[in-house]
Amino acid sequence: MGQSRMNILLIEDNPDHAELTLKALENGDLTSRIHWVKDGEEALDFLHHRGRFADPTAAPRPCLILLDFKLPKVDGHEVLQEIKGDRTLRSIPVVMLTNADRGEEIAASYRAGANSVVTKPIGFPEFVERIRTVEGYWLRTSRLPEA
Amino acid sequence: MAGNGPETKPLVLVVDDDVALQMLARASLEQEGFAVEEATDGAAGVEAFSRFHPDIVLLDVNMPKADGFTVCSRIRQLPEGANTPVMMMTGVDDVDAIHTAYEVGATDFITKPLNWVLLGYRLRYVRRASRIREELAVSEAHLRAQAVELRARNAELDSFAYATSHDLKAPLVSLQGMSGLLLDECFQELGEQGQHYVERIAATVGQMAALIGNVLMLSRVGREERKTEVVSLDEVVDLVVERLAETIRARDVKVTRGALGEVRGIRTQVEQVFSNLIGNAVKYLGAPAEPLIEIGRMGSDASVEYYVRDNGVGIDPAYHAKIFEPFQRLKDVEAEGTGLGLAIVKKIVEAAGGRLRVESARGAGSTFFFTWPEAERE
Repeated sequence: MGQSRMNILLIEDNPDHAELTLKALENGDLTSRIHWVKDGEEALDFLHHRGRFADPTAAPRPCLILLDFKLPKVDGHEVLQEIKGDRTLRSIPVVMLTNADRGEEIAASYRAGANSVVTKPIGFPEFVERIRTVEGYWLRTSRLPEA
Repeated sequence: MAGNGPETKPLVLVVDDDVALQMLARASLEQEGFAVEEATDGAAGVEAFSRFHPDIVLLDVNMPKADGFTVCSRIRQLPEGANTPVMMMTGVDDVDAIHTAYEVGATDFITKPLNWVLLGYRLRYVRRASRIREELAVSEAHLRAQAVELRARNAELDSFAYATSHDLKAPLVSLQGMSGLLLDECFQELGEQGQHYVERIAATVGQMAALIGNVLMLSRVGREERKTEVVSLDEVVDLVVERLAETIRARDVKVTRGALGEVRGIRTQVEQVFSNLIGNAVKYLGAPAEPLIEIGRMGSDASVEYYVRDNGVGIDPAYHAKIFEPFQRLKDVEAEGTGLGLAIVKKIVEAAGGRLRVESARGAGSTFFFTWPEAERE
């Protein structure tokens, strides 16, 4: 695994949305590697190298986390709280993805330490563009901490 | 109360220390169709009231132990005595006593010596008035309860529509995404027929997205507790017109805007109002020789009305009430839309305390007027 490959962790329960996100990222000009998990529990296993992610090479530390709001088992908000409450994980930028445009939810995410909140646009070209904007901003425009 | 059975005779409680008067009162009132209970001093009067729950109290002012005023105010403090008519018996020229009687809550007074025929009429009148008041109070309470329930149901309906349209957004993202991918990546392999089908799907999904977006918008008006701000209508209208610029140019429409000033409101909602009204004006222009849309304000101070006027196809007055209801679209005019635009405008304007109206006739263009109570005075 090349050092230059940047790892993104995508936490998304909706398989269609995950596929669209993966599609948007793989066709972009950045060579990031995306790891997709389907719920909050898996996400925490991935980040803590537990269960089927016990082998650290199977679950490299991501430099960006895309986190869906609504997740089964452990909700997106709880995952966010866990990440931002963890000394070793809290420096990883977390971008929350949502279908909703609820003021309270958005405010609560930022209070809990979300680095960005992004609504999923309905149109396909807009969706692709927004995901690429997010990727470009965090992986290219921003300087990220060394892992 | 002629025709009433014995059990429904109104009960009069006579409180007086004068035994002769008690006897006369009983004889005369029973003859007039009342039932009678007696008490011969103030303390006994209050006790009798609690025991018998009379329909009317006939109460003497001057009595030993507790005088009539004290008895009256004590009855008023009892939960069942708050509204029972109390008629006080005073001396002919005792103006002070009359004043005091009303102060302690007496319903009416009658002077001694008593005119028994008159007393009968007065008691019946007082009884009727108090009954009507009771019925009124009951129906008023009923109405209030209904209004509360109606508000609760409306809120429930709104949040249901909100939640539903919200949940529909996730599959919509999928649908648009997947049909988008199909168009992007498999277009050539689909063949002409297949391409046609996918394009139809994509177009329909687009309409569905607009509809769901509008249902969400409609259900959100009034639910939102967002902060209001001072909004420049001139800026809002220019922005809306700019967004429609392509269509406006394509159809060679002249758009004019007068000075509109500012209002206090939620910016996105004010934008919605103008974008729907101006959007409709463009949509229903038809083909006049010189298409024109005018946006302006008229009247002054409290009666300021903002308007959006067009010289388009117009609306038959028969439909004027209908067009503000959700999903009511005019069938004789071909145009794309969700059928929710004017419903959204109406809800926003009314949530802000304003009113929306239309002046229009077929072939004579339309003017939509609305008021916005929190207009900023220059």
